[in-house]
Amino acid sequence: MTRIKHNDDNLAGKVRSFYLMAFFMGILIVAFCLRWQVVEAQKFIEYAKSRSITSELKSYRGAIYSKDGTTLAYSEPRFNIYVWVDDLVLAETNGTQTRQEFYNKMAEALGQKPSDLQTTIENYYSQKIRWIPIAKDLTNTDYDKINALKRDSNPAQKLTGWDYEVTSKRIYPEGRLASQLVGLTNEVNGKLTGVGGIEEHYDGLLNPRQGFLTGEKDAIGQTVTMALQQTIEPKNGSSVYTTIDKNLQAVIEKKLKEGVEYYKSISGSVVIEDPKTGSILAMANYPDYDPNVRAEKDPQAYGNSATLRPYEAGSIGKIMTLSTAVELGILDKDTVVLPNGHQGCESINQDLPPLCTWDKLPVNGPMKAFECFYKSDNICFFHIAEMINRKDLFASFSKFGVGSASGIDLGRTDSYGILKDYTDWNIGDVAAFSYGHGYQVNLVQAADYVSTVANYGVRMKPRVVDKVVDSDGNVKEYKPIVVERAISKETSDKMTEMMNINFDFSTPEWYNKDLYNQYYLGVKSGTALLVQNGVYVNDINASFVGFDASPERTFVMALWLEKPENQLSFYNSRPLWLDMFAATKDILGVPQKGTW
Amino acid sequence: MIQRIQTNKKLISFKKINKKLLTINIILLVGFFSSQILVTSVLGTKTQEIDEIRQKKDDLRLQNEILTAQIDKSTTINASQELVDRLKLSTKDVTFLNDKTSDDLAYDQNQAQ
Repeated sequence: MTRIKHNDDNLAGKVRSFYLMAFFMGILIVAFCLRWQVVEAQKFIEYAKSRSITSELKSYRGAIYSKDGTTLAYSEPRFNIYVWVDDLVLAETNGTQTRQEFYNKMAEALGQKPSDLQTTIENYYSQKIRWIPIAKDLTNTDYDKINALKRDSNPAQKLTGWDYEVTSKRIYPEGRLASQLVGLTNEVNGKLTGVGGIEEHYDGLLNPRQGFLTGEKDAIGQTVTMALQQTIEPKNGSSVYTTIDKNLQAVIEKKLKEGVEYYKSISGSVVIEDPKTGSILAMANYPDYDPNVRAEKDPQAYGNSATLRPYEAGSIGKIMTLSTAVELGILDKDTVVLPNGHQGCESINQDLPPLCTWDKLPVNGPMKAFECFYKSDNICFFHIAEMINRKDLFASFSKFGVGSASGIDLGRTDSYGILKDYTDWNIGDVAAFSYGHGYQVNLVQAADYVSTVANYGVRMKPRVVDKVVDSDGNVKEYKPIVVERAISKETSDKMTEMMNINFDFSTPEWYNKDLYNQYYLGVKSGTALLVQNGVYVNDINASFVGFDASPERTFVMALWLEKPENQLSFYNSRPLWLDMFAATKDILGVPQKGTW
Repeated sequence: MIQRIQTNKKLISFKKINKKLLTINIILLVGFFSSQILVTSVLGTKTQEIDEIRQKKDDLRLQNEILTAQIDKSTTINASQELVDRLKLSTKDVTFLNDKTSDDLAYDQNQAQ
């Protein structure tokens, strides 16, 4: 009985001791938790941060290629070089490398003087900066030179005390070629952003996805294998393949520059389009700029005038007026429009100045439709427009794309002029619209409505990108898009025939007639007076459009010269267009007569 | 009285349990430390290897980008012109056979063999 009691007391004492120990342990745990979580929380947060790593895995913006797969823009890895002073000090303390040795070798590799490098490092170090930038944007070749530097004490070991950071630089290897079309990039918050052209429109696809690596390091800086690690793999931007033929682009840019300078124009633009698909084969503007340098002061050099600047294109608009009349069955090529000709000028309304032809010369005798067209007779075209119901003319212009965006994949630069609603037209509007005044189109729109005639009446959406290939090799093709049928094939054939008559009149004997006689082309010139302060002045916009009228329909080319010295497109944009054709016909593969 | 004896019996059974618990604790502790040693010895040595592989991967990625950039650069008009000049290349006219039914039978003969 006593033994049992003794055991009982023993048990109670043990339990009490256990509880007491547990209590003190609990107090201790709470105390430590308080210390770690509250009193020294910041210290431990910093400590944990120093052990966790998050590094960015570099990725690159996608390239832009021409039709044949050659490069228009790409991103190149570049290297920023830094000095890490702690390593320099350590190497010196260990006796493995002197500072002077570092200055001498590194300066030579960087093409600097050792004393200059030393000064740079010492200046930073005096401000307690130990991670010191000493070179920026080095190419791979320059980086390799630095990476090959060895220590005197042990030539098997690399020079220590430096490190690098990989960046990227956007390169436009062809310089000025297609500069406004390709666009450029600006760095915003460390990220490249496309500005203008393809760079801007396809910015989302060209942009890369940065990669990240997160993990933990142990006390000696090695990765903790057991710790949770996460890697987001970097992904390069997609590559954009354009419809641009680089050789063609190079030739027309050269010709355009020569033409603008020769004809003393302020600027010039040219667009070459495949009428069957709407693919832009070449698009050039002058003045232009080098996107690698960006030294031009003229802001106009940076804009793509062919899409950005709608203008009154003048008589090339007569193509639409005549097409509408033919489509509606109002007239045909040989229909007499003015049985008695005209006097050079004609009053259409008492409140308006008289309507005149470009030479203001009277025409005696009847004028047929095709004569009105090749002579580009404004009075005659006013009478043609008068034969057309205003609603029908408005609808037809709209079908040709006037008054709406061309839809070209060049983003914000696709500017266009409005087309006044037909219910608001007066007699002056009808006259102006009939010969291509009173509304504005950009050069791509002009090329587009000529393409509609060339493509047997079907208007295609203009485009500069053929396909996009992502970094995994997935291909997204951009197929030609039909916008609508503007005119019938029969009307297109009739218009082609009349535009070919224009071509015959555009190539006089003295202008290499033998060459041009070998081809079947359709053309139209356009001269539009410029408006200053609300009134027409003597300066002009000179345009010329034309296309391959053979069954192949290989191209449409639209040309615009702004304010050339000579005030008639016949003497500036026409010869320049013909020169451009002669220079590009073989690249375009324009078939000669008798080969189809 | 009966209760005391029962308590006493319980005391004896507690001892047995304690012994068992102690044994289990020792086994668990030995197992824990052994596994720690095992994991550390197996995976701990892989740390450097993992770091090296990661570094190698980064280097290869960079080399790939450098090579891609060099290829992109080599397709420019200037680069092509330099190649033409350096290798003294010249344009040759090449006449292609229109189709295999052509009178020039080189193609057909090869096919026949």
